[in-house]
Amino acid sequence: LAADDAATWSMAVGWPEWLDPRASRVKDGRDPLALETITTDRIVPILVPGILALSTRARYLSFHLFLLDEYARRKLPPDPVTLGNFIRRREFEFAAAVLLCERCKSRPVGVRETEPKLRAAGSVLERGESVDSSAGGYGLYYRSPLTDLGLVAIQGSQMGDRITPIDLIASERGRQMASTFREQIVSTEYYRNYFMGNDAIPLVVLRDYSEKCCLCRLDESQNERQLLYSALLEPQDGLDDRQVEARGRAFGMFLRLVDMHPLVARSQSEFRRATWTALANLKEWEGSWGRAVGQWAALHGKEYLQEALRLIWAQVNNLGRQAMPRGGFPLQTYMDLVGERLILEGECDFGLGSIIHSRAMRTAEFADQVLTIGKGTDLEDILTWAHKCKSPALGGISLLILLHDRAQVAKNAPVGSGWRQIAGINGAYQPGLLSFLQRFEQQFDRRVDDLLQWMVRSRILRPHDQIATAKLPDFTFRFRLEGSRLRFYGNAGLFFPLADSRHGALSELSADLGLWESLGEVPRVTTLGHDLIKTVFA
Amino acid sequence: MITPYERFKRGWTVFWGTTYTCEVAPVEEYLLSKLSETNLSATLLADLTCVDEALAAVEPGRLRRLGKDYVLRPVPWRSGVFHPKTYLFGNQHGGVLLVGSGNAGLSGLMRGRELFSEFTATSTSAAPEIGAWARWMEQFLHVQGDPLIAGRWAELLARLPWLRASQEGSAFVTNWEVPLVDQLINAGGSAVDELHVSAPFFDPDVAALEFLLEAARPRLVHVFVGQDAEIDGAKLTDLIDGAAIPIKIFSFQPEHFVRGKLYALIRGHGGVVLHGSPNCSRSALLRKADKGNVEAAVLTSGPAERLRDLFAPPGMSSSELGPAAVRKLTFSLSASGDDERCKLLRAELQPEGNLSVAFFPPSQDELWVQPVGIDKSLRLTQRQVIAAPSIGTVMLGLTQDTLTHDTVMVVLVNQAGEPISNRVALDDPRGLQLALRPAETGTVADKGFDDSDLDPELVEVLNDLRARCAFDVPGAKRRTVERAVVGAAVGDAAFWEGLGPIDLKKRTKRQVGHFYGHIDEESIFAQLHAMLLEAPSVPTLRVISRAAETSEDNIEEDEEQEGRPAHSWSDQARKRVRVRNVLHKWFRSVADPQLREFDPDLCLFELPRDVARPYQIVVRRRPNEAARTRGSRFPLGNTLDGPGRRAQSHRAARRS
Repeated sequence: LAADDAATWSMAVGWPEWLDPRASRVKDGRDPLALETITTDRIVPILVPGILALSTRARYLSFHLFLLDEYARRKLPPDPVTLGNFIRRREFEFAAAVLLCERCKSRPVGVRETEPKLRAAGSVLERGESVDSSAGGYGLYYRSPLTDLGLVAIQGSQMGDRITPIDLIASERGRQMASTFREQIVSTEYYRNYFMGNDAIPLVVLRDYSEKCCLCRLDESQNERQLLYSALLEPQDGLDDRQVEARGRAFGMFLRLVDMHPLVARSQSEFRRATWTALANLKEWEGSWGRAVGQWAALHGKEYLQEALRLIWAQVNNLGRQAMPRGGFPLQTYMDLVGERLILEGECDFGLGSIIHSRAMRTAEFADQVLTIGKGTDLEDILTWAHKCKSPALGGISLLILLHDRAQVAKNAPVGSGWRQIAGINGAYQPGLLSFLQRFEQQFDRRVDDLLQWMVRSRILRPHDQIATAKLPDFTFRFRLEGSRLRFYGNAGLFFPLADSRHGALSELSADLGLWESLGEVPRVTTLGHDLIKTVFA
Repeated sequence: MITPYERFKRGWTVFWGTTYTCEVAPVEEYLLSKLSETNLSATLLADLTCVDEALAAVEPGRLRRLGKDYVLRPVPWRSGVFHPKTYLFGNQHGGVLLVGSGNAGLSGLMRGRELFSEFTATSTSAAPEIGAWARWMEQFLHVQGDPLIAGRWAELLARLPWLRASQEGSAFVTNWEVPLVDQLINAGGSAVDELHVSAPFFDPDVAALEFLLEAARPRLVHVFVGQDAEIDGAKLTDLIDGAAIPIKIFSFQPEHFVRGKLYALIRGHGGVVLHGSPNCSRSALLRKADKGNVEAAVLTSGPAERLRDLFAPPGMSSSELGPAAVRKLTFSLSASGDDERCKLLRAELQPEGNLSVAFFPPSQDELWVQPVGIDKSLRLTQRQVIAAPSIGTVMLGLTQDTLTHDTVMVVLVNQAGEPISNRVALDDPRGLQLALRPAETGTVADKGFDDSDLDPELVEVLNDLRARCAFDVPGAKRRTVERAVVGAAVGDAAFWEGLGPIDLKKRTKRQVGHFYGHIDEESIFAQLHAMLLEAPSVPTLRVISRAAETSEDNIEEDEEQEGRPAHSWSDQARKRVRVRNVLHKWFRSVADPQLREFDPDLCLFELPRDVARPYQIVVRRRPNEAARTRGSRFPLGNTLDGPGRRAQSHRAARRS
């Protein structure tokens, strides 16, 4: 330190730098237990191939085919950016027309952007866009189904010795569907004078357009509806027959349950209830009906499992957040705490009765009480009981005990049955329904606190640590092992929903196709719907 | 600012780290997974006690690559702890050395308030700090006397010719020969204007801080502490009250644990700063390694203002604490008593399946090696005592029985089955050796095949599986490879003139999406799935992801990334790789120790270690149950082939 002249000092080699705290983005993270992904990525694509959660309206299929066809007929620049701009603008105008429809209250794609602009419009609507995505709602929700249905060939497809630079209609059936939509709107002022161009569109023109194009007007375009039905549910050269068969089974199953329990059409909860009722009454695993019931009951059983684990997850997190010492928990200390605090000695209400519990109680003894209370009650009501239970962990365990009990009807389902196929699907970090129930059953000889600790350790702590590690560098941990210490973080939300199992899509698409209708307020399967049921389950 | 975790990336062929603690799961699953999966020499040295605690906390089934693809070596240090945080990444073209305060893990390399210095090397020149680091590591390894680590170091030297750089003028310092405080005072001089100190841990009696004051004789002292800093407020108050100079204590705001350690001496317009692993304690700062901890740091210099600025981590400021607040600071760590347990240094799987271990102190008691998570322990029979420079004497032992189940870590137990040592990872030297090889020859299944083994029908089935299934789900690559639209007439209006029919059957999987329904409906998948259902809970068979679909593209892309031309594979080579990949992934899946966690009694798998017979997979219900009594012996060839193809499969199996 001899130099004392400011000019002689500079930062030498090895100058230290602080770690960039922004490098790890803290996010809530979806699916913190890696359970939703089993439904979304592994089960639903088997049960309802080609249908996305938000591709719920049949007429969007023909509308988007119409747009692609118009683009080609007008020989607009074959590049994806221009095509995307073209689609987004037409989607905005379509959404405005749907919102102006006086016959229905449909909520079109892009409604959040469109509705305020429409409300602010005087007599004319300025041009705009409703979905902030390169290919609009088409790219987000309908491109994939249209591709899976063999109606669209996406950019990069083989066409002779060339590669397509943009998405194109891929089949004659697709072109026919585009034509049938065009036939409906060809005489409208909108199509004749406003389909292209930049001028603001009079609302009266859009109202007129809505009377032809609206999502609810499919029943006035029988050819179009027939083609949509065919595209979704009938075999086609070039497509995998098994996909068509699987879709048919899903729609047929849904309609048959609606026929037996009309509320299934409107309620996911009733859908689950009806599926498990069907499972309980199932006579044989063979055949289309046995396969469908087994598959869907297994999916819904997995959802009951998820809800039970979510209840335990929430309490586990809250306990950790409230009781964490400086530096975090030694793992065993925390596990001891789980046993001590989450299962106190006492009695708690559960549905129509109450359960006496203590941590030292044998699980089998605890299970006997739960089974007695739950006798004759279906899983959907038991789910409600579990949600209302003052001790979420006990509610979750009780739900699992009853799920295990109800699943005994499928104990002898053969290999290759729909039940075993779907219930046997495991996730990367979580077991599927069969694997879980098998292991759960083996815990019945243990104490209740041992059972809970087993579940917390193997189904909560480890999977979350693993799935959050897999999401790095985004930091989505609610807790994690820092070396040998378990540390809980912050106040991020603990709720995570069930994954979409396509109830909404099945319900809306089948209504659009005329497979069921509302008679007053009561859903009723139509003749066409009954025909489909007969075809699928013949 | 620096982002050390971003240094973990493909292209490096060497990773060598030293750390105090190790977050084993994120290190394996995130940081090391960002490095190449083959042709990589990865070694991490960590303090023995910390490794033991970390291994005890993680479920053994979770660690899939430990001991097989990389080495985590516990370091016992009798006079203190092994505490240096240094990380070297390199390949033949150059490398990077990080020296700082962050331990191996997310807290140390991603999220914490940590400090690092970075030094670089090219194929022709390296920073002197890298040469100094290599020299220090050699000295350290010499006293460790660990053959496997010494071998990996030799391999590293062969891979990184630039590592033998001159160390002249190096800013890298350790306490190997001279205490760090002496080096700091030597560089900064005594009777300085200012002393600034920031550390998360101090001595219970603040002795090292007191020593610093006496040695540097500053006119002003600033001490910075973060949340949960371990320092006794009463002792610190005594020091302040007894000092003839002003000592100001600052706390960082907002409250956050700050692990970065800084010691700056300022005189006039400039000064020196020491940062790295040493806390403000006797063992770290005042002692040589043979009497204290093993520490590593960087000693550099800079303008006074910039030195003062260093004491403000990004997004934080500091405020002076009043006397009352200073008194409230606490030192809560209790002195750790001597660990009486036996120190297990290493365990290695021998080619015949028995285990060799090294531990101290030598013992003549009956001892067993217990694979963690498995009931059966293996008795140590052959034993010998050898000299080890840093420890004295070490006992080597060999089990007579062979390991029958895949295991990740072991512990020594006594006759009653009670653990009497720390846990260590079980190293598989053969697997580790294979991990050092390039991808084309890097896995065991290669040795089981030559071209004559490639039954065309088997290849057809394997190709199908390879194309559609991913066996090692958690490890599946998630990278996406954007395909260029080659030959597309983007923007060319003439395109519309030549529109032709589109052949739907020629669409790729990417273009038609994926249908998973085939898995149980086709006999091959049904049989494989049935096997998996009977055996493990995870992973399951699933269709390969969109991202992983182009895995072969990935291989070639990787090569391009490393500056080599894309490799053009022959059909035979491609088939062989596919066979290897399918079987290798299958083996890894069913042998995955993670599977055992779900049900230790039910799910035990035994793979023949004879890799020349890769078709044989034996599934047992229980560890002691003979495989053939269960009738659960699945010749993999049959299972893959399904009915009607068995004859060919058997022929292929016999040939291999």
